[in-house]
Amino acid sequence: MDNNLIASSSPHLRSNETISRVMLDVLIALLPAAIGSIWFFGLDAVILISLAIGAAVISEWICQRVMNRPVSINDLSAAVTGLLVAFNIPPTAPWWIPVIGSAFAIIIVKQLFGGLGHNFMNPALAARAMLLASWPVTMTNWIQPGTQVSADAVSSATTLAILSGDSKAALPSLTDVFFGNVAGCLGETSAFLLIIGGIYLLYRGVINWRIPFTYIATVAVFTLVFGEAFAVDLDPTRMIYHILAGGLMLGAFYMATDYSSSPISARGQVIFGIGCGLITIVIRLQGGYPEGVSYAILLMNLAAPLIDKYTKPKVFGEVK
Amino acid sequence: MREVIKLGLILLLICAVSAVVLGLTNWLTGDGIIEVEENLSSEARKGVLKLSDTDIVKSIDEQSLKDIQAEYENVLEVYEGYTGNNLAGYAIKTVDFGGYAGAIEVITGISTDGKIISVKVVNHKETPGLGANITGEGFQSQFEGKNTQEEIIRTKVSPKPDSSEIQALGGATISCDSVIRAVNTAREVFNTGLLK
Amino acid sequence: MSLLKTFKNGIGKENPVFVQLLGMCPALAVTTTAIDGMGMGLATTAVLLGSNLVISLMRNFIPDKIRIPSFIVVIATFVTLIDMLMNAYAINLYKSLGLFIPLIVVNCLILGRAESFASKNKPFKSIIDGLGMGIGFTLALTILGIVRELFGAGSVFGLDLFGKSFEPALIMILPPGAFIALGILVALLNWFKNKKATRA
Repeated sequence: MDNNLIASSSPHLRSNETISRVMLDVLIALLPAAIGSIWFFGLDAVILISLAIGAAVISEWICQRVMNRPVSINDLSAAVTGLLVAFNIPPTAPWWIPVIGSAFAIIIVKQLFGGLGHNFMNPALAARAMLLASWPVTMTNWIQPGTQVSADAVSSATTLAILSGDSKAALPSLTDVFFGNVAGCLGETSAFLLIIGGIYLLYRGVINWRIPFTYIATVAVFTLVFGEAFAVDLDPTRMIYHILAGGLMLGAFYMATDYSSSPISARGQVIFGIGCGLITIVIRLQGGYPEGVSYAILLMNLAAPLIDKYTKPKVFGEVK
Repeated sequence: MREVIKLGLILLLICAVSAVVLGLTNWLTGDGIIEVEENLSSEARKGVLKLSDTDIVKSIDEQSLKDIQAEYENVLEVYEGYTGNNLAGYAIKTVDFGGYAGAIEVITGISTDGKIISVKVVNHKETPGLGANITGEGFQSQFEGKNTQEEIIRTKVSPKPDSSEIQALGGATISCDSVIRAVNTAREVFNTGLLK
Repeated sequence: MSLLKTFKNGIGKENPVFVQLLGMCPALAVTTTAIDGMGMGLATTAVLLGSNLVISLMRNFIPDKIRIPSFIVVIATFVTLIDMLMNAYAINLYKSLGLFIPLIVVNCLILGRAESFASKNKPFKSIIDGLGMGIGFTLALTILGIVRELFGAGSVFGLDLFGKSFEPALIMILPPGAFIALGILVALLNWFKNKKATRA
């Protein structure tokens, strides 16, 4: 800490909450899912995660040195971004994908816009969107957990792709989808492990229940009632599939709750969560892609300042 | 009032001069433009029929074209290609409106003995790097030598040799399907009765 | 301002794309390849030269009240001229630039120079200004085109640089890549300018 004598006005609150403590909590929460990804996808997962975190930290160091800003890699925020970037790529990704993704997330989305707390979009998700737009075939090359990446490996389909009719493969069982024994990006497959981490974050007070809860609830309500192309029919099984499959758990607990790109007010957060849910199901059920979580969160990130503006709490006694 | 008339007259003068200049340029370049456009199209037609530059390609008569278009509305042009005095084949330009970003126009060259000589995508708005790869050799060359008797279908895996299967490009299924539909239309036109 | 200064102004200090941020539409849309960027730049330069010259010659003849419609007619005439000439003599470039050739009319750069320079200066000086701005525009578009083509398709001016194993970042030849590339270029140029200023 640089300043032990702080001259500012009250209230003075004592807390041992520091940026690095918060970030460490996030890393701990993501640990089960990280171990899960290594369990499911083996050495590839280890390599990709290491590359992503390494590239993120190094990019931040380089960027801050070049821009003559104090180097803050110790606050672990770059490491968190790196881990989240790794979670958003398929296990078949070549080495340069996490490196370019992390560099883009840290340098362009975070540092060039002002550093920690100034990013208007979730850096990891923006990186994923950029990677998907740049290398669409590489970024959608899925394999079943337990299989090795090889030249003859047949490309699998994700659960959501099967649900949306893009693939005629058989739907994996609910247990498989819950525990994560399905094809998908490194960190998104195991709803179970992600929920454990999410509960930890809620317990530690790092995130607020409003965004994850409203997000998941909105998706649940709509997928209970609507099917592919918004066909109306009640199907609880389909609802459970939609909640557990794809990036919803990862997005709702870890991405949508990013402090600087989501609204501050309580009402704003509820609106944010519902908005994310709505856009997700529109893309999943009607849009051209099987998965809509990343674009939904990014779009709501853009709307967050507007939401904040309109949900400003009333200050009594204020002269208009 | 007088000022408005004066302003109006000045504008009229400027526009008149502009019109004269443009009219003159149009007159000078008009023929050149038509010729250049024709050359481009005829190059494409000769290309799909694998003819040389000196061979002739000409359109079938208007009535026959109208009859064909009455039956198959997605046919744009039908040209006959001759080597010397012998009819070598037909270059049929068809359109399909089901591309990822709109209409795709394809010229299909079919020889008189019922084989597809080659195919060329001439107009599209597909995404660069994905659907736009339908103009590449890798995709278009698959059509060469296909029989016109069987309908061409798309597969995702390697097509069986000597079959009427075309392998779609990764990430560009919609664009590939659109091209295949356009080629199938050309194929059906050929089958109906162009064989003279 | 001396003639040389006027000329250099358009290339560096008041570069239409990197400093004035004018003509963004063609700058972002046609720079998917370096040759298209350069072609568009040259076409715009031709229009700029013609319109600056004619408007400067007529500057005392056009009444102030109708100067905007008069400028537009002159500019549109030159754009149509260039359009017809390109259709006849540069058909490949014409096809790749497509809709954006007639859109040169609404390029703020041309009307901007007409309004702020050509209508107030002598013809020869106006030509020099048009030339400087046009070359600055062409330079900007060519650089942007080279960057986008290099990272988005692995080639430069059509020459494949990296071979088959290189997987280009498709986003660079799509609209988001255009904005990102332009943003980074402007940021870099500003950074260098600031460094020069603090050192001086």
